[in-house]
Amino acid sequence: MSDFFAPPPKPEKHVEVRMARRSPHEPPPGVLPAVVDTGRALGEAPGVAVSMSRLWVYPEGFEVALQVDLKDEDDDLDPFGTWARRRGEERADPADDLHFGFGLADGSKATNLIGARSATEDGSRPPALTGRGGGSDGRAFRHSFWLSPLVPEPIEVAFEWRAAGIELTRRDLDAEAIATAALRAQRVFAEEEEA
Amino acid sequence: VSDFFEPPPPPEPRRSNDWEGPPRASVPATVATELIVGRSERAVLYLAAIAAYRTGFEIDLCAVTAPGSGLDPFGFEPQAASQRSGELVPALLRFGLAFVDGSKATNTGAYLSWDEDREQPSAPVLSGRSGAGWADTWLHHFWIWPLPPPGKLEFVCEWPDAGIPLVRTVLDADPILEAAERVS
Repeated sequence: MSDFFAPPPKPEKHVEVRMARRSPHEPPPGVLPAVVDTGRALGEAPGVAVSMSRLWVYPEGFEVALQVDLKDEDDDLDPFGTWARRRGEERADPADDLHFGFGLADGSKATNLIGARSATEDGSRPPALTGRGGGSDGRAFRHSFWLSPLVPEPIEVAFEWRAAGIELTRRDLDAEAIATAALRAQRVFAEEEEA
Repeated sequence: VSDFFEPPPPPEPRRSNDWEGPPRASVPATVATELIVGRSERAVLYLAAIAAYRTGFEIDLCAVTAPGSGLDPFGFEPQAASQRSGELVPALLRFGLAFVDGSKATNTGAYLSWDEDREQPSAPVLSGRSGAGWADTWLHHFWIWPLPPPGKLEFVCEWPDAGIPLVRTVLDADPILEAAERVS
């Protein structure tokens, strides 16, 4: 495993916070996202291509879909653990798993290894990347992730998948384009009032 | 595994046809459209983006319904009910694209066979790709084959149960074609 993708931390001490009506682990309801073209390959190896093409940006964060294309069906390449979960298998070596995430200017990271985070004692939440599910036809896999909260800072996307022969890649994203897009997102229905 | 129950043979490689979905290992170029294409007090339909490939394009269609409306834009039941009755039921969100040459691709009409030996369709194709919904909000993706001819391109939608009449939103196919040219 590279230095970028640290293993998940031990569970934090539980902090009592009032559960918001809206889940922080999904895009806000009633809001139309703006779109940023990222159009880039994240990693390639013989018979494997991984890419992310666009971000759906909300004031609170953005959704991104990771696209994994395999030239042939390959039981040994299971990018999102779909087949292993169905068969009830343990992953052979987590270091070989697909790792995907974002690095922020302050050195913090939001990766698919860490996932959702609970709020800190002051009620704030560090940026986190939450899996939103996806699908596959055996050769093409598309999975969505939600990054939240949105940070008005430079941001880089990082990817590695050693089982597929793809070493760590790190690339900058256009933070200004993301921040501008967040301003274009439109709320079209008010949130329901608390009962 | 017992002797009686034999495991299935491995699947044979399947040929992909252009009309079935985006080409493998191709990163599209995205045109951010960000257009409200239908609106009522009960629902909003929004064409967020068009992702262009060399062989066709994908649309990102967002639907937001008023809290408590009970509307379901991408549910299976209205499609099934329309198929059973032979008529488009009011609950069915109908949408599609009209090309300048008069051809169209819609989510209604005959289902397309995905038989790999099927001959190339004579009309444009619209097919569901993936999507998700949460709290009266949905974002779904649809594949349209082929690329449109240059010129006017219309997004057309109608959703009677949501109070959205037939709306035709005029787009320009040229930015989509230019984006497709950038795709390697």
